[in-house]
Amino acid sequence: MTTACSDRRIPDNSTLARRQFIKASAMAMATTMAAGKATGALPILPAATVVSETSLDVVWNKAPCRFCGTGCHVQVGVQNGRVVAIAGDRDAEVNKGLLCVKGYHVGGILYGQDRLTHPLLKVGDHYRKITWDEAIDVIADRIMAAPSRFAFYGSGQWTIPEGYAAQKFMKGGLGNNHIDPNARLCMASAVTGFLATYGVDEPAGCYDDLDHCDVLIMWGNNPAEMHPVLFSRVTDRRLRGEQVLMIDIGTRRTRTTEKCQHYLEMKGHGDLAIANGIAHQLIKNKTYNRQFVEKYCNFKAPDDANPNLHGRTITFEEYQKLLEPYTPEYVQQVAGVHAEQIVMLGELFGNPNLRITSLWCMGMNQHTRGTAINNLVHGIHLLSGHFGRPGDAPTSLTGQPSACGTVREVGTLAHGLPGGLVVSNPQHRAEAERIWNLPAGRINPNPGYHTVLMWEKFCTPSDQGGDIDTIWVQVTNPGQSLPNLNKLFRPKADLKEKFLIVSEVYPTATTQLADLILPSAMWVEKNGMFGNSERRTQQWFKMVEPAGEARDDCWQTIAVARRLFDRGLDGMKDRDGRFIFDVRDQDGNVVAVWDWEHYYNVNVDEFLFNEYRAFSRFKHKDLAPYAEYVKARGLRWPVLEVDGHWRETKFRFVEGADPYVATGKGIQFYHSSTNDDRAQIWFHPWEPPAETPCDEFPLYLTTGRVLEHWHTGTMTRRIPQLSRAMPGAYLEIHPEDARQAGISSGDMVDVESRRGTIRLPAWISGRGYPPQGTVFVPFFDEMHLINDLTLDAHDPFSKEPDYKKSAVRIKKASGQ
Amino acid sequence: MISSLLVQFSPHADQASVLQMLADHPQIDVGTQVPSGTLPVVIEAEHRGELNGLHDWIASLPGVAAVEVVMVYFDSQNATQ
Ligand code: SF4
Repeated sequence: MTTACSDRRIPDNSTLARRQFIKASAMAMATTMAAGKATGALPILPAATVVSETSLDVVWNKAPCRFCGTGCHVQVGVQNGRVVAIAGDRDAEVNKGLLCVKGYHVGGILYGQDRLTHPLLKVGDHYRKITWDEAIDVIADRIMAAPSRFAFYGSGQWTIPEGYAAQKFMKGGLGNNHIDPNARLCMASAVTGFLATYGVDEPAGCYDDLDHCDVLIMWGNNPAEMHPVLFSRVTDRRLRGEQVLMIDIGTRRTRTTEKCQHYLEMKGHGDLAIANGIAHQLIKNKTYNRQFVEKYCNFKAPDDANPNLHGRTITFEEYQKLLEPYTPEYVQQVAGVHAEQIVMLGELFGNPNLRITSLWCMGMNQHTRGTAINNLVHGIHLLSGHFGRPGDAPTSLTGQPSACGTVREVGTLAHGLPGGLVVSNPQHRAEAERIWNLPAGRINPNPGYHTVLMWEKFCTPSDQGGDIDTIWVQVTNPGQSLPNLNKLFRPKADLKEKFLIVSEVYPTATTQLADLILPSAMWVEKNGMFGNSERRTQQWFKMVEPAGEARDDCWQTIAVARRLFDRGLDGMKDRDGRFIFDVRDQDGNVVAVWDWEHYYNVNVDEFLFNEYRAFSRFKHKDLAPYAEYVKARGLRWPVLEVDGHWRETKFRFVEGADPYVATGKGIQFYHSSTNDDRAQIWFHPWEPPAETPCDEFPLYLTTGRVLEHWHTGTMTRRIPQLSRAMPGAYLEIHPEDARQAGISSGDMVDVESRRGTIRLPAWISGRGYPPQGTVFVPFFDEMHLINDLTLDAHDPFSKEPDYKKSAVRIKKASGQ
Repeated sequence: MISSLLVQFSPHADQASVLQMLADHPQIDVGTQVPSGTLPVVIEAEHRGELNGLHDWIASLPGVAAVEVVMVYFDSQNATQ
């Protein structure tokens, strides 16, 4: 037992008052939480009252949460140069003062004991501390030796200015286009789904839909754990007595299922058949919205001879014919759900008086037919006319805080340019070269390598076609998050000609193979901007100094660019011979921002963002000036100035709500790929997954996340409260599968796929409930790398791999 | 450091004696139990090691099924100790 120490410090009066106050706040939070449990609410906590307390010498400032794509705002309390408290931000529309358990502990991510604090160069089998100057030279040497064989790998955790700097450095500077983010692994299929349907990326609606829908359908989505604050917006409405019908379509029961009135347990890829089954019902019952379809939609089917995102145009009659096989009975057969459930969904979509919101995230995106299922869900909303009213929309969610802002909008994908432009389009390249003041022809027209291909090339010997020699990783952990790690990451260990640079905050599975490790500043140790899942751009200021010699990722990129400029690399010069990051102060003088001593002499974020803004107008994703985001808790684009005020847009393509819709149009898909203001309703056939269980590997493995840990757990596992609540990965298994294998809860189990094996403890009837024939393993635990087993097969358009359907076998570990 | 916790009792726990032990501890404040049987408590410690020790002690009390952390307030120097 721990006892009170006899030599405890005697606190003075002000300290005592402060402690009493904090204890009272802590008790209030715990009591609210306990009361929430009693009514079956989610682990969402109300805003701490500490925000209103000003007598504690704690300075409070706003920032978005560092974790998920919900984009909750927190108030960060800083005292004596350290983050000492976190509270939900009551002025934030997204979360209205609420935070999930991860958000409440977000301040702790800065203070893990093993922060990386010095640049480290691998020499033989150990690491040597080097100076930043030496580190920048090492990177410059690698790039100068082979600029076309260098790649940059980032993420949706890059801030918008960081991603923009990396994008300009690669596409405007080096011109090899080998830049891609880890968001390729989580939401690329949503992008191709939006593009193929509306001709432009990102949701038409926003989180307000959750406040207005009558029916919420979650497609392979577990927001109760992954986006808990958003989910609570709906469950809270029900607690207030509102009627909201919640439907979970998934491959395992989760905490989300517990709150839903209906659960459709489908087989992997069953979603394709379910969506087609709903469309079939709408047409058979003549309950589709004929007027909406005739006014605003075309029909498309895949062009098998020339697969692309435009497909081939078909008539309504052809569409109807293609759907004929998808009777409720056939859908039951291939998807595993009950025929009556398809009839029920058909009736709901056929009811024009309801408002229906569809939500999805990884379940539909990490799918070898990810583009197709995204198209189909948009399609049933369009076919039924459940589009264009608050609460009536298909809305995708993202897992990372700036997957939308940095990846989709800044365009840090191998084919993209900022603002939704693409490198393969000559006009787009010309526009980018104009804004960046580059000589004509600087931007390479060939897309670079997407994530899977980039890492495959890096892990292939240089003399065998492996033409990526150096990768610089920032703000992500591919050594844990890539699929099929034994193919896409681990071979690097034996390839001496390959060089891995990793900018990181903590040691990770990726730094284990790094040749050069750069310590990075994180979250409120730097200025930043994120863009969340609802098109909301958010801004924050640096509040504390980074640990040791850690520095901003954006500075690192600019410093390397400058070193290359100084060495005479033409790509780092603009048309007038000036450095491509020509940052000026208010008087027009060049600021040496490549020198860390001067980096914060000006606001580099503001400079980069205001330059980037010029791109945002091409696809009507207009952003306001930086200063507007300083004042707001984020603004949803397009943001236009109306009567001297910057006005955000809640619902796109709808007259009255979207300023780009012409008067009298009602709904106008003004980026239509058919140039007729119409969206495309696609037919795609049901197809089985890339890998299905067989005699040798009889179970499906699906992977995902848990409430307590974010992504690969490198931050949340360093927070004791979260780590203790969920200490390690486990194998979730159905009781009958466990019984047949002689496995009890807690037994160690060997899980094996065609690609690898890991050993994990079993958890029967644990957090989630997989059906017989399916097992689930979360991916947050670097001690149990489930991606040793997953498949790298990917969607042909989005190139996003399927982490949800690998065939495995299990065996109780020997020696038990 | 200050942390608030939720203490869950097992169905047949002798809650009265556990409540007494918690109330007697000088570093623990006991809140009002809600009908579900969940008890909010606040603990105060000098450093993380002590906080962990208190947490583990509560978790080890007879009849305590689980202890969940709600929030932690970490003072300047002691956060990573
Ligand atoms: S993790 Fe996501 S839901 Fe939780 S507080 Fe942060 S942004 Fe909000």
